[in-house]
Amino acid sequence: MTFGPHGRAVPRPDLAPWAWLGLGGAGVFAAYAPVVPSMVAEWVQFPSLSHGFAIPLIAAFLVWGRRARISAERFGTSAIGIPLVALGLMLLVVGSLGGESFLARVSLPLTLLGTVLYLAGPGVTRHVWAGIAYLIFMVPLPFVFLKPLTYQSQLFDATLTARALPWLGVPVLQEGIFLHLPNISLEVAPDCSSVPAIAALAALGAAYAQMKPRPAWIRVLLVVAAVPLGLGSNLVRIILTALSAYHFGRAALDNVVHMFNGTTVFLATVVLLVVLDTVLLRLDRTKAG
Amino acid sequence: MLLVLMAMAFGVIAFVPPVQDGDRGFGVNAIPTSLAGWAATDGAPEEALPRDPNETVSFRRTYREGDRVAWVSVALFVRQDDPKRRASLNLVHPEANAKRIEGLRVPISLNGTAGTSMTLPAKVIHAGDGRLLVVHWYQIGGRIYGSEYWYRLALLRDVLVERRATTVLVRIAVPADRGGPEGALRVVATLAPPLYASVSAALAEGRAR
Repeated sequence: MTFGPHGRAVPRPDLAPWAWLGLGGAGVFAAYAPVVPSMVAEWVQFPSLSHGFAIPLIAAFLVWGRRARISAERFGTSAIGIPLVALGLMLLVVGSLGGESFLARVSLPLTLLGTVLYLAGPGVTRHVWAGIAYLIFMVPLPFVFLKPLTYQSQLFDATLTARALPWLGVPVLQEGIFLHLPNISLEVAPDCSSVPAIAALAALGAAYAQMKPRPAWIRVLLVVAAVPLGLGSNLVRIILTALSAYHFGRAALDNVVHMFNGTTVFLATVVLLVVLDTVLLRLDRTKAG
Repeated sequence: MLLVLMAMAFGVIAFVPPVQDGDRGFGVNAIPTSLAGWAATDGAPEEALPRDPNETVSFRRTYREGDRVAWVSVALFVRQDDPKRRASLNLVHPEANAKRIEGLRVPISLNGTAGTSMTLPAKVIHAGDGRLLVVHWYQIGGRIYGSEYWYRLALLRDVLVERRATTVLVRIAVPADRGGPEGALRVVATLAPPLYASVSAALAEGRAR
C-alpha cells in the first residue's frame, strides 16, 4: 500500500502491466531513435529552440504529478490505441523517407499516446495525455511557415517603434525594417523578432497554466495569452533598445539585455503571465463571491 | 501487434535506400542565349540572384534588349530526400541589406496560351536607392509550383512514389527603378514562357538519358 498526496491509500501497482508499458515505451524510443538526434542538434544550434531541452522534463513532471491517480487506476487495454500508433508510425515513415522532419517528429507524441492507450487503457491515459501532448512543444516549427511570419513581425515591430519613438522625444525616419535615428541607424533583424520563439512562449503559457489548480477558462486564457504577451514584451524591448541607442549610442546594442533578447523576452513574459493570472483569479473570486 | 508495427516502421526507415538521382546531364541549354528577342551574356550579379551552396548545377545569364536588363538563374537541386540538400529559403531572394520586401502575386501564362495563366510569387526588394523585382518558381519536370507548400508536397510525393528528388529553381530578376514593378513584370511576362519551355525540354532530355 502507498499513500497519495492527500494521505489517501492507493493500491500498490501490479508490476506486469508496468513492464509491458516499459517495453512499449522502449519500442517507441527505438523507432524514433533516428529522428531525435537531429531535433536535439537544432535545439543546440538555434537559441530560439533551446527550450526543447526543458519540454521532456516538464512533460515528465506533469505525468509524475499525477502518479497517485495513475497508480489508483486499473490497467486495461484499448484497441483504439492501435490505429493511433499506426497513424503515428505512418507519419514517421513518410516524414523520414520524404525528408520532412516536422512530420516525423510531430508523430512522436501521437505514437506514444496510442501505445499508452493500448497497453494501459483509457483510465491511465486520461491522466497522462496532457504530459504526452506537451511534447509537441519540443518540435521546431517548419521554417517555411516561420519565415514569412518573421519578416512581417520585423516590419510590424519597426513600424510601431517608429510611431512610439517621437512620443518619447526621439526623432526617427523609418525605411522598412531600418530605423534611422540622428546618431545611429538600427535594423530590426530577424533575430530581433519573437516569432521564432512562438513555440517556446506557447509552451511557457501551457506549463504555467498547469502549475497549480485553476478554473479551466483561466488555464485556456493563460495558454492563449502567452504568445501575444511575448510578442508585446519583445516590442517594448525593441523600443527601449532604440531609446537607449539614441541616448547612449552603440553601447546600448552591446549590452546583455540586447544580446540575450530571447531570455529578456522570456522573463518579461513570465512576469506578465503572473500579473494576468493574478488579475484573472481575483476576477474569478469576485464573480464567485 | 504493437511491437510488430514498430519493427516494421523501423525496418522501412533503416533499410529503404536513399534516393540516388543525379543531374543526368542537365545542361547549359536550359537557358538559351536568346529569349524572346533578348540576347544573353554569361553570369549575373550575386547581389541580385544569390548563389545557394546546395545547387548541383546552375546557370546564370544577363539578358539585354536595348537599355533594358534582366538576370536569370536556373539551378538544379538533386537528392532532396535529405533536407540539407534543399534550396535555402533565405537565398531565393537577395534579402541582405533589404530595407523593405513587398510580396506580390503575379498571374503569368507560362505556356503562352491565353486563359492558362498561373499565379507566381514575386517580391519587390527595396535596397539602397534601388528596387528589384524577383519572380521565382520551382519546376519538377513540366510541373511548376509557385507556392512553397504545394512544392514541398509535390516533392514529398515524388520522393515517396517515384523515388526521385530532382527539382529546378528558376528565378528572374529585373531592376524596377525606371518602369516600376509594373514595367519589370512586363519583362518577366515576356521572358518567363520561353524560359519555362527550355527548362522543361532540358529536364525531359535528362530524363530520357
